Amino acid sequence: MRSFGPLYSLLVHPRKVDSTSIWAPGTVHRALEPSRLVIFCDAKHEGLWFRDLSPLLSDASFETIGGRGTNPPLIEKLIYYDRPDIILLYDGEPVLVLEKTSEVPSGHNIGQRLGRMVRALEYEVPAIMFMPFDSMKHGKFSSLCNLNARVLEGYLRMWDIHSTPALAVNWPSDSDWELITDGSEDDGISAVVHDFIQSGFDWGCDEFFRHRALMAEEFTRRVAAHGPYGRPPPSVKIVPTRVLAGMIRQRSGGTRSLPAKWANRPETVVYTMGMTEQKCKRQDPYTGMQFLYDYQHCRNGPDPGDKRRNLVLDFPKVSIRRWKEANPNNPRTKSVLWYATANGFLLSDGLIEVRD
Amino acid sequence: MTDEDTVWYYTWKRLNSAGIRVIGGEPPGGSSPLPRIEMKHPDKTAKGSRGSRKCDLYAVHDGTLLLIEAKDSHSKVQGDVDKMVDIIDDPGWAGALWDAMDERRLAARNGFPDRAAFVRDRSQLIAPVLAVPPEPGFEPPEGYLLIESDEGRTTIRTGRSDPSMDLQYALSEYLELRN
Repeated sequence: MRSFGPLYSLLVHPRKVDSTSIWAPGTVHRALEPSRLVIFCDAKHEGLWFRDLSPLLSDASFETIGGRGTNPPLIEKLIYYDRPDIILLYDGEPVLVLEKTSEVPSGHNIGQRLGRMVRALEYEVPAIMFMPFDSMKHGKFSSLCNLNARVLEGYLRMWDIHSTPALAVNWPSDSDWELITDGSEDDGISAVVHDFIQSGFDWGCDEFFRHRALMAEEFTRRVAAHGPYGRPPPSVKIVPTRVLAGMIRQRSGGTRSLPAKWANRPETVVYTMGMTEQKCKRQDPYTGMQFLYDYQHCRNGPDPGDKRRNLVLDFPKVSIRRWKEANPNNPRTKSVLWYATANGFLLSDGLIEVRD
Repeated sequence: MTDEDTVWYYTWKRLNSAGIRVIGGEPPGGSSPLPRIEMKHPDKTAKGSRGSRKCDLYAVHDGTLLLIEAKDSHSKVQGDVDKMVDIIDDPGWAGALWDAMDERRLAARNGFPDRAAFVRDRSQLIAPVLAVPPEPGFEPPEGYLLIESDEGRTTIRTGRSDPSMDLQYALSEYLELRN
């Protein structure tokens, strides 16, 4: 199992800055002018909630995140994969993306929100997910749901790879595992957001690193309690790339071979999804989970092509024709997320190559 | 102008701050940080939300369940008034409300352990509340509590009474009078 210490490179170099920037060490706090803060929010009540997290946000103005194509260019870039709840701007520049959910973190639920986090990191904007680590699921099959600990490792890897903070902050539950909603649930996230703003958006602020340590501890503790979280799930196999070459030949009836550059990586992560042709026009939660497995097992750099292992998404029940029809690489639709990070798709009758 | 989201948010937060337990709800447009309490009437079998009803906020105080509907203007509340009359008058809806709370373990935890008693005593146990931006001239329907919320403050009143910022006291007084 990997260990995750503080990122000393970030402490030395909190951000790429020039000496006149608000982020320049020693000048940040004095330079901060709260009236230059703008909260872009998916819904007004989420913006109001966020503003209440820090008195330094009290003069911030609100903007609503509109539909695709209706926002300022910077916002458009950040919502390209998916819309986060909050994008905080200072002087017109995004400084933080935050997503809040009360949804229980069971199984694949966590995947549905990963894309928007990753997008922020790709633009070097710190990203925070505020979510319950453990909470009661209600309904017909009521039970306690615990966080899929792989996501904690995923966030730690994302932080390392992008050299940009990626935090999961716990929404606490009470002794019956019911989510706390009396206002005290915000104490932890409030401390993080306030410290970050007060520090002048310093990526090395105390609360960021305290929570990084907490995430690492939680990951270790949860893997010790539930061993499978320390390994890929059954749907994800790490295979020698020559095995993938055989799969490609077999699926394509011998008409396709392994792309040459893929052969440079001795191992490949194959993420298999059992979607059928009738039900293959969907994204959640798979497009989010691909990011998790990519960062956990493949990526070694900030560009999706920076991989030590290939990432191949495997759909053994879907043909190439049907796949292209249902999930085109169209930026106007959510299906564009399928093309965000994998090297390619292995389908029932062959291969679609996405990147080297 | 104060929008509905703002009325919803500050009503929730300030009731919480005053020690009035908000147990569920959903803001305009959905995506709630609170437990979603959706009533499904036993005689209405339509799939999805067509046979269901939700209120914007649910709070509990002094043994009474408050159904709270938020709007950005008093001129838009008639539909909500009719909905809350239905829920309180119709034993089917009141039972559906208890079932929806129980599904999320909110019934017994908040002092309503007995479904039959909840349905039988529903007119005492359930109180209708409207939440709107401050509108001094507006008189809520008889029996309705009025919460007026904007970014600056939240007050409670009934009828033409003076608005009170002491939410807990005003609410307790209203509940005492109605019972």
